[in-house]
Amino acid sequence: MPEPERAAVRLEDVSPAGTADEQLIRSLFDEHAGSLYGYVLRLTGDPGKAEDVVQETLLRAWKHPDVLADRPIRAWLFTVARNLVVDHHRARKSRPQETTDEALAVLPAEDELERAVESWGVADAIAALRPEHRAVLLETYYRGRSVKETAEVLGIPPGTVKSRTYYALRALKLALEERGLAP
Amino acid sequence: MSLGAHMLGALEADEAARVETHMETCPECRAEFEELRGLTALLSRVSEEDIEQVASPPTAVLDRLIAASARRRRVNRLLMGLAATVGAVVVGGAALMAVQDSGEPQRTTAANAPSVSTEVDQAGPQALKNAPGSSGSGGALAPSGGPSEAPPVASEQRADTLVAPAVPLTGRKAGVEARITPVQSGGGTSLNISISGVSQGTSCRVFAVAADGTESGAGSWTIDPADYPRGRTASASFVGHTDLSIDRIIRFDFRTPAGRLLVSVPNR
Repeated sequence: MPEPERAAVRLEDVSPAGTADEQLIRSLFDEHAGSLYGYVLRLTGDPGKAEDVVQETLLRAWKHPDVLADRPIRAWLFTVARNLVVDHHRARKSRPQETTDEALAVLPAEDELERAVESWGVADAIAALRPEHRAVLLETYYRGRSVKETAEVLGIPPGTVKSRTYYALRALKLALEERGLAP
Repeated sequence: MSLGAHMLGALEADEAARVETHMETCPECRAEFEELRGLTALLSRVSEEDIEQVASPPTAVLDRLIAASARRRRVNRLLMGLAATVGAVVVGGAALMAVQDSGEPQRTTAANAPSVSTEVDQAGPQALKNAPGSSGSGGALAPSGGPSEAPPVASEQRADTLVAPAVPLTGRKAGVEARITPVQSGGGTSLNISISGVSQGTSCRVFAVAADGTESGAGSWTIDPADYPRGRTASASFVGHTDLSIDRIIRFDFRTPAGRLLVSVPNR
């Protein structure tokens, strides 16, 4: 049996601020880590480096919640991540012995940032759909399958594929509107 | 109901033709179709791979973030504990030390100044690389290089506590120079301290002295002889904290454990 009194002390040791911090981190991560990671991975082509950049970007957002209060967080995060990638790239260039194996896949241009924020917002909106909605969109649109083929792959009637596709698109439209990305 | 599938081109040819024919006579379906059609342009901007990445973010990063935030809390507690039990924590103080190689006492105060935006610009991802793997507070705090390494100590303070501009107070005595940047923090005062001209291996304690003679320990540290070549004096930076509010403090005294006064820094 653990000593109950000590256990109680340990619980108090986790301050309210601490749990709030963790909640903030979790929500930042849940909402943004996936799209940030995808974006950075495309810039660097290096999964490990992309993880580091995502971590640093989210850590900065967590440390400076005041920065995020009066601006679109997504654009801020992408800007920070992009700057980190560029800084890292420059640091590498200044050390020639390290540039041989890992070059930056794509050096991001300033004006591409806004477009990237939008595109990843779309990916985000699709990823946030209910799984059955996402599945029919993936099959019909991204894999180019017909209703009949999709019905076979997913093991549901063709009529269900049609109705799900319709509701998936309506849900997607809403999700995009919520993100300010209405078509 | 078939509109969505039709829009995505998933209907068989005969059904697609039926839908088209229907829409010619049904303005409602036509309007709905047009409304949804804009979505295909957006769908085309991402790939299936993109969606999968968004749907499965790298969870290892979450673990590291939570660990990093926990470490930061520990650091904060350590700083508070240091203030409370001054004198007994020379070893702990060594972990907080930011010993620098030459007389560069302004460094800490300069590092304390950057706003959020400059910090965003200056640190590269390599700064991060040091953090996740390092164990204990020493690794998180010990500076190992360029200017971007210096702020972690200073940035432990939230910007909202920076009510006073960072103006360093200075004091000199027999080759020893100390600078203190006090920052009001809660009811007490956080201190960014740098001191140079103290020989290595010297242990220092800092006391905040009030007008009525009250003394409050504000931290202690030791200049680590291992880090520096023999014979050189070092400049050390560290963070202290006292429960006295800044307006009560008339001066800060740096003393050795034996009580010898190294230098005194008057408050304005």
